[in-house]
Amino acid sequence: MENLLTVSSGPHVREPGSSKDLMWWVVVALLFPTAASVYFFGIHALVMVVFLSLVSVAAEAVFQRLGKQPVTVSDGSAVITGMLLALVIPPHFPLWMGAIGAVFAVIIVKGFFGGLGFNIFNPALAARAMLLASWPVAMTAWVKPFDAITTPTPLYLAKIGEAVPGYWEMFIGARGGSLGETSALMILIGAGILFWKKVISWPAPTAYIGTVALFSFLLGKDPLFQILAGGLLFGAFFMATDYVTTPISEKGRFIFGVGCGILTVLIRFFGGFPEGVNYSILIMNMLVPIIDRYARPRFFGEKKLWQKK
Amino acid sequence: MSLLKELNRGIIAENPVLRLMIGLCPVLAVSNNAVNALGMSFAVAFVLILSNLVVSLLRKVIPDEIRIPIFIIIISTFVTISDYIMKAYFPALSASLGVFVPLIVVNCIILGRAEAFAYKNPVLSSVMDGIGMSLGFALALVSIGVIRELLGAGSVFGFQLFSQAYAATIMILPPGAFITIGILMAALNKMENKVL
Amino acid sequence: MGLVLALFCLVSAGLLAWVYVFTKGIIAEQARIKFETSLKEVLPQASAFTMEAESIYRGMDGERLAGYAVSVAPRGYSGKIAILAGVSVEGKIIKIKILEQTETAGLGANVIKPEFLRQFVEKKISDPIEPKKDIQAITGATISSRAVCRGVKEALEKIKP
Repeated sequence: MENLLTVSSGPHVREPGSSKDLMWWVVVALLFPTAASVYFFGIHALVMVVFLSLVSVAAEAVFQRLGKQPVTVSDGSAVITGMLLALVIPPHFPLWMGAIGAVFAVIIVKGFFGGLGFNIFNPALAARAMLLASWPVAMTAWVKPFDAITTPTPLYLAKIGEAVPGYWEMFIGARGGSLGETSALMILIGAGILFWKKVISWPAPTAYIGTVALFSFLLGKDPLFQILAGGLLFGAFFMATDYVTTPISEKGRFIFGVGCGILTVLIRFFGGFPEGVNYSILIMNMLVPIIDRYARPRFFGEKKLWQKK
Repeated sequence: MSLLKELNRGIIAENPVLRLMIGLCPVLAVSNNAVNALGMSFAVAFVLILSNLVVSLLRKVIPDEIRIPIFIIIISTFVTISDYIMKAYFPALSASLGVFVPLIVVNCIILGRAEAFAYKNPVLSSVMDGIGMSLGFALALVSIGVIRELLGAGSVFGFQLFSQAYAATIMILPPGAFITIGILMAALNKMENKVL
Repeated sequence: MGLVLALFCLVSAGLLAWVYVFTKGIIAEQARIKFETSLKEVLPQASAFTMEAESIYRGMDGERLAGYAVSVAPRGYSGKIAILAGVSVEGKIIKIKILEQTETAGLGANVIKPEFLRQFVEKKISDPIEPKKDIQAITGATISSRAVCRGVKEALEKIKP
């Protein structure tokens, strides 16, 4: 009975369904990019996705048991963290390194900060950054679809001025890249389900993708290529829409998306790395409390702060 | 008995790094391997114990109004001496610690102990306080150094325990310092059973 | 009060002067030994060195010219990489050694690895000395690898007759 009423601090946002339902819809949506990764990069992709989900769930259960907290693995968030992490690392990545990443994501990035709802950073992306800093060689070992010949990502090819795959290849996902990021088609289907079920909202992804396209165009680069070539679509639909690590209000989410877009463009065109989606979203994660403060939802009848009587 | 108390305090209960959270700059910077951490610990111990001794000895002749400049003169004298000595006799260590040896001057542990303790207490207690604080600093710094070197390079004090290919390089990069120090602080707080 | 402060400064200055004079010789000696060891390492055939020009040292084996040791410092990813290159009389690299570097640990710092440095042995001015051509770059550290290549080329150019 005591679970019937939950006391929590505001702001309270009303959403249909419980957070549990929302989480499982994300899992369903992620099955589409997963399917594409298995098609293009082989069964190891599926092994990685399943394995990292299990490791994440196990890590969360052990951590919560040891900390004498209620075990909340059934909310699906650990499964999502594991799947997301598996989908943003290269094909044929060693399983043990992936497992370290999953444990880092669940325990250090989420658990140590207070668990689901209190983590500042997107666990999967923070773990990806950790893996990139720790094993940079394994984390940039991209391969061609259907065989294990190494190839750089299209963004890297563009940066060093070599021939890049065509739009159609990039759209269906026949290019080098992280497991889940290559197939724009499957990402869009997954994202479509999430929009249909109202799990994610428009402002962050559209602002993010729109900003990248706009600045690419203004800087004389090919906007369509910039959208399809890297991890932008995956990041925009699955990472920049995370409830915990993005702003609460729609206005705030729009600002968040624009910020991610500007940072991504800066890193891609002026930075040392070919891709900037990972760091952009992490940097904007840090700014969420500030964005929330200036773009909070207004309560009915509330006077604006700057409104004089 | 009370002398022992002065000694003990700095090690765990008022550990400068993990409890008082002062002197973090060198801790973050030179704890990427155990040898550097140990070398830095010796340099800080040398400066801290001697400056506590001198400040306490002269506490009656140091005018209150200009005590801080005088502390700084005393501290920087010892820091410069330790810098020269390290350069002359331990050139490799001096090269790997680099600018962080001269920077001991601005380490708040040393000025902090001079102001908070040595200026108000007798010589023997001040020396004991210096030794205790140095041990606490060394304990924290070397633990962090050992953990980071082990996880980040697969070795301890330079002895390779497992292949570098299995080591997570992030641990010897700056983020590794923050992660390690945070977890150690949490563990110590849990041990002392109170939350800051 | 000012007198007390002056007194402290005076004592401090005196003490430091004494320590400085005492350690100066040893520090200079340490630096010299370190540098000579490096010179010997890149030019093992030579037994004595004389400074030929700035950053160029002539290595002698008795009366015979054994080769040159050239120091260069190209810009790496996060600062200068100080390189000492031993060059034979025929203008070929004998050995190179990284004296100082501040590259990223685990990535660019791998330029100090013998597997990487070994590739430069026997290179001469007419070789390309470039990553992807005749040098295998450190994975994930193109900028650092390229800097070392540039440094070696510069060293060879410096002693070009």
